[in-house]
Amino acid sequence: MFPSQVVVPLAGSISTSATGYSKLVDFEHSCLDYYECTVHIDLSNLSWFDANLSALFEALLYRLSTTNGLNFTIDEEVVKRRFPILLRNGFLSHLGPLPDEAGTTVPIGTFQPSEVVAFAAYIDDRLLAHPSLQLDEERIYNIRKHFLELFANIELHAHTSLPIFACGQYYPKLSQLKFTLVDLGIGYLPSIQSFTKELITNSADAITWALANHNTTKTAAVPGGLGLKELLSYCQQEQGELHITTGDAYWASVKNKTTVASVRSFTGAIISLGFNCR
Amino acid sequence: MEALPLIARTIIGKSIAAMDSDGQKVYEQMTRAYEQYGCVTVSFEGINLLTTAFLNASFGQFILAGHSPVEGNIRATSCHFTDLVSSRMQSQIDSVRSLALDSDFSAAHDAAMLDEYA
Repeated sequence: MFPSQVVVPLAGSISTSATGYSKLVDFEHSCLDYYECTVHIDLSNLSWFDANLSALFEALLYRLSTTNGLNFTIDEEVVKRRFPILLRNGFLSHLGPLPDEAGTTVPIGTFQPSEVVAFAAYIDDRLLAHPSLQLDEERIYNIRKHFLELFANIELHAHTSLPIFACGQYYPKLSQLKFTLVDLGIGYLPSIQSFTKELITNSADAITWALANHNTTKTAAVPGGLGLKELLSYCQQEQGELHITTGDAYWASVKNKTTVASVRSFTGAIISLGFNCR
Repeated sequence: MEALPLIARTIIGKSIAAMDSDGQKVYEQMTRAYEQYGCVTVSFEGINLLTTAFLNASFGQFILAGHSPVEGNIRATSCHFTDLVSSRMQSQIDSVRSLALDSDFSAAHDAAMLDEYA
């Protein structure tokens, strides 16, 4: 018999990094112990939350409510006092939305895998039109195309009917806009392991494989292969950031320096981009 | 009788040709038109973005269905695209054409198909 309400904390600093992803995924694993009850999310010891990671947080809450029948509550006063950005970007707006007067958010968006037109409109109107980016026409076309390639790859390879979550945040002090896209599919490894006939057997190698210039499955690329490689090229040219998490692997290119780390296993894929804003 | 152009936007029902599943729909229509008329014209009127995923599933698959370099070339040259809104789209089509006519890619594709149906 499960209690009717449990408390699960989210603590420390949650940034767009292996540590930040791990803390959120740890939260999911902690909640998986419970069924059909209310989880109170304790933010009292949370010191920082990268608002673009609202996409991941929202995705985890969605999956937990679907698979384990969980409901969630959160301390409204803590959110209003310390994390009002989560009311501005639409993530916790049911607690009382706030206007985004500073214009720093790319509001949270949720899309079914078939909703490519809505996703394209979101990328155009919310991300690429964000005043911090100031992109020329060529870059807009290319980034839009790369994101739509990624979206198409989710339909093709992620084997999921669960929604795709997106959110972004402009950080004026860093002059950087971070954007996160999350799918709750099977992740990169299963398809790549099968396609490579067991040559690739772990998620870290699967990410490396997806980023390489492979293009030889039935009709298209390996998971993430299209769009991801081009986004990496873009980030390398612009000294930006690309973070990828799937399974138990985290991979990042930050200012052209690559980092690979093990993380708590996440079923799906998380892609975060850091755009340098001029 | 000359074949009427296939209108991609009508076939897929949207202005963005991005998804593999939409490419499959166009591929099926291209195959029918080719079998009937020996040539295919696809109009991209009203389409403002193409992805490689879509083109691989439509044009790429159409070429690779030739199962030999000669037949692939015949198919590639029998297929025409009109109403492209930018030169970038033509470049994307050219890139998929080159890849599909590449013998290594073609061999890998055939191997993948054999695996799938083994």
